[in-house]
Amino acid sequence: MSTEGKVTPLVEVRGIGVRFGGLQALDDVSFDVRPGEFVSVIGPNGAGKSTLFNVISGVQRPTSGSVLIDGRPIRRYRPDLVHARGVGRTFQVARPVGSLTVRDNVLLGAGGRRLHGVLSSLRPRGRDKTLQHRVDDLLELAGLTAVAHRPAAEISPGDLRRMEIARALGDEPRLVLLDEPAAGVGSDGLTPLAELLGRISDRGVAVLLVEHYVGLALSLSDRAVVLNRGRLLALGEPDEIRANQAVIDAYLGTKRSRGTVVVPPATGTEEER
Amino acid sequence: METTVDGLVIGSLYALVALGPCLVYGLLRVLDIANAAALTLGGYLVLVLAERSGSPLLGVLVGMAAGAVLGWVVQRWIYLPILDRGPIVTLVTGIGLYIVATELFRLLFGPSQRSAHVDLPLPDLHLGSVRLEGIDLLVLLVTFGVIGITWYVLTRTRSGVLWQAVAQDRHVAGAVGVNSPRVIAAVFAVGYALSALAGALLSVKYDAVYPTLGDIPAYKMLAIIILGGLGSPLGTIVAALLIGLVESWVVASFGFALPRDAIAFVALILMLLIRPQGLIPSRVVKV
Amino acid sequence: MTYAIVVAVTAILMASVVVSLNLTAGYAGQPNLAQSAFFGLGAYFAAVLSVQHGLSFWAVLPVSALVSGLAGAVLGAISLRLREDFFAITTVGLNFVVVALFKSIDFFGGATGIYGLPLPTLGGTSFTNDHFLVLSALLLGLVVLVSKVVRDSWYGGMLMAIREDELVASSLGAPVALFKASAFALSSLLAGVVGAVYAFFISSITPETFGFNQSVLLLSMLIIGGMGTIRGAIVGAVLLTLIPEMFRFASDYRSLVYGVFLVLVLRFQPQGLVGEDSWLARGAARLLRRSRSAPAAVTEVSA
Repeated sequence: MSTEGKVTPLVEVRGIGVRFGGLQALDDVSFDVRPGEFVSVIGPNGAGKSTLFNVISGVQRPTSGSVLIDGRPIRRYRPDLVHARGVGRTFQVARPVGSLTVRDNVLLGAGGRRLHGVLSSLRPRGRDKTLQHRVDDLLELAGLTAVAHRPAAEISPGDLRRMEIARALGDEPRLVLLDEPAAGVGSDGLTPLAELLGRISDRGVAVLLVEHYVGLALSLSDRAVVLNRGRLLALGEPDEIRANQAVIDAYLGTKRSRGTVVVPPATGTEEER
Repeated sequence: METTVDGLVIGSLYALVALGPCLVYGLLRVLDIANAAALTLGGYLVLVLAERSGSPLLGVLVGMAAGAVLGWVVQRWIYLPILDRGPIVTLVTGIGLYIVATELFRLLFGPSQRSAHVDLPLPDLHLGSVRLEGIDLLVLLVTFGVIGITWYVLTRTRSGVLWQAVAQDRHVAGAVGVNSPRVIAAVFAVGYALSALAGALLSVKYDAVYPTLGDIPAYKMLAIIILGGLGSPLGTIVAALLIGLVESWVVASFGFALPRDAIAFVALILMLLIRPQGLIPSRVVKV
Repeated sequence: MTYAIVVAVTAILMASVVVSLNLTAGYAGQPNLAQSAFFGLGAYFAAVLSVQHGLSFWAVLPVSALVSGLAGAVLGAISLRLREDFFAITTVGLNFVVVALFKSIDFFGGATGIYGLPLPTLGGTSFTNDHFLVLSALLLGLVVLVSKVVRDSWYGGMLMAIREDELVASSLGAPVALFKASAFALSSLLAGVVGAVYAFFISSITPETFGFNQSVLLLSMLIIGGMGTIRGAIVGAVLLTLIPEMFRFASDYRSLVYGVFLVLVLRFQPQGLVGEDSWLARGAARLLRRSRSAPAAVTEVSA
């Protein structure tokens, strides 16, 4: 739903710059994500995609610029505070709590306000009926019901990816940041993943997606952000992106076939911070 | 001034002991307490062999050889199999090994302190008003000699390159043809031999060996290798000398108000609060 | 009989400390080699306040709890700043610093320690060993209850997430710093209370009792039993308290046995004897039963 009217953006990235020593990882990047919108972030390795995610999710304080959620800027860059404002995320490399079950992993993502203080978090996590239902629903949505009681360390990479997404959705966020959910899932894992992404979007949750399978990303997206060497190269609807000469030159040009761009998944991944 | 000399002597012994665990930490991220068992071993062997054969030098050499064997055994049979269990498990295993060693020494050599009875015919050295005891001079010469050699090997030879390669990434180094297990074994052997040497020097200097000789060095060396930036040989040597000096100065100026053996840790905790990344923050030697 | 009770009380008190240690070392996965420092702080404040200032047992308990809890919170705050192995060594160092303080500050009675703690009284009657047995059992019950509440709560789940990946925990909405520091405070507070009871029970304390070796012993108990489980903490503590007693006839070898046992368990069963996934223990138990009693009916496996 890419509305043209005056909708307050859910998340607004304003002139973000991040410097690591001599490296300008992001340079004056601006865009926004509207409620319920599906936006993908694409760009070659080292474009700054992971850094961008780390900034929006509160892991990394930007050197310049700011991120606004519901029109209010993030002042303290702390992941839990950003999470409390309705933004969930996954990671480029799957990061399960391996010793807990799949279900417990998803449940932990649903703690919400109960997690904000020590005393409130001392309540038993297995009791709340509504939460249990929500978790069961998310497990089903992600196709994980069968493995719900297995330790997260033991499930397949594809299941792991979808578990992370379900976990990120636990607290009913309005935006989820999905960092390369297709990495490592193998070709037969792509279909269930794409279906899950579609269903999330259908539920009205906004999605910001970093994905190396550009074709997959663009086919799901309302809009796309293209980054190159830390700078915003293009911003627009998928068709515009596919036709954009600068994008083709800088990134898509070499491996292009009939409008669907297939870029092989990266072997070396950007460093997470 | 004598205090400073004393501090340097102690500090150089600390450096000798800490060098092995520092190199081991660089390779495996294991904090190796068991290394201090080699120190006590070195102390006892110089005592026993000096008594039997009359040659302290033989004792030192046998001690170093025995230390090297111990180091090889420890890494091969104990540490390597549990490496992926995380730092707590390896740390406590090392402590367990050290306890076993201490108890064995106690059962073999008796619980009480024994005198080494090694009289080296060393002349004292007079530098102006400062008198340097022969044994102190020997300690300084030997430790700085050994440290110099280690330094040369690490920075100027193929072995040093191999150590750095494995320290960077054990698995990648293995993949490009570095024999990681052999590098690890060698580092352990050398590290334990250095500790045995330190133990021999220590027992001759203070004319005393006892089962828990390695206790204080064992834990102090942990403080030292952290102060030195964990895995940085140069930092470790600097930190060892500093701790030796600071201990001597503090004890000389404040008497026993603060027990000597807590100083290293007070320094450590203060330093960590100010510079959480260590005195010289490098995981791998920078040349 | 008295001797048996003394051993039992000691074992139960040790189990209580180890269960409290499990909160930080087990659930939150923090390398905590300083638990005996907090145990000792509780013991020392109890001893000083009762012997030198005449406070009653019941009056000093909350003081010990508070002092140890605060000290634990400070350590927790330190843990936020340091990498895992830096922090491990800091906890090692803390033992030496605390023992040094006990020895050198007059308030704590110096190197000789503090002697002659009075017996606690309840309703006019002085405590006997039987009373201590009941009290320590209640204390263990309390510590276990607290641990269970933590384990099954959101808080405990997040501590386990922190153990494995702090970034994940905070991205799921947990205030990691607060949770870590409070886990240390809670764990130390409980250890302080146990320390106070322990001091009154043995009636005299010396600095070295609470040194690094004791911290190692406490962590060893937890690891041998099974890190991250309440039953592991209890089994490990009871086992390592009883084994030296059983080897009393060969007292010279007690420490050796302890060391060898520790190394063997860590080397071959690092998840502990009754910890999660300790198949070796179950297999051995089954084998033992089979060899002892003739191939009888299938016996139940009790962990």
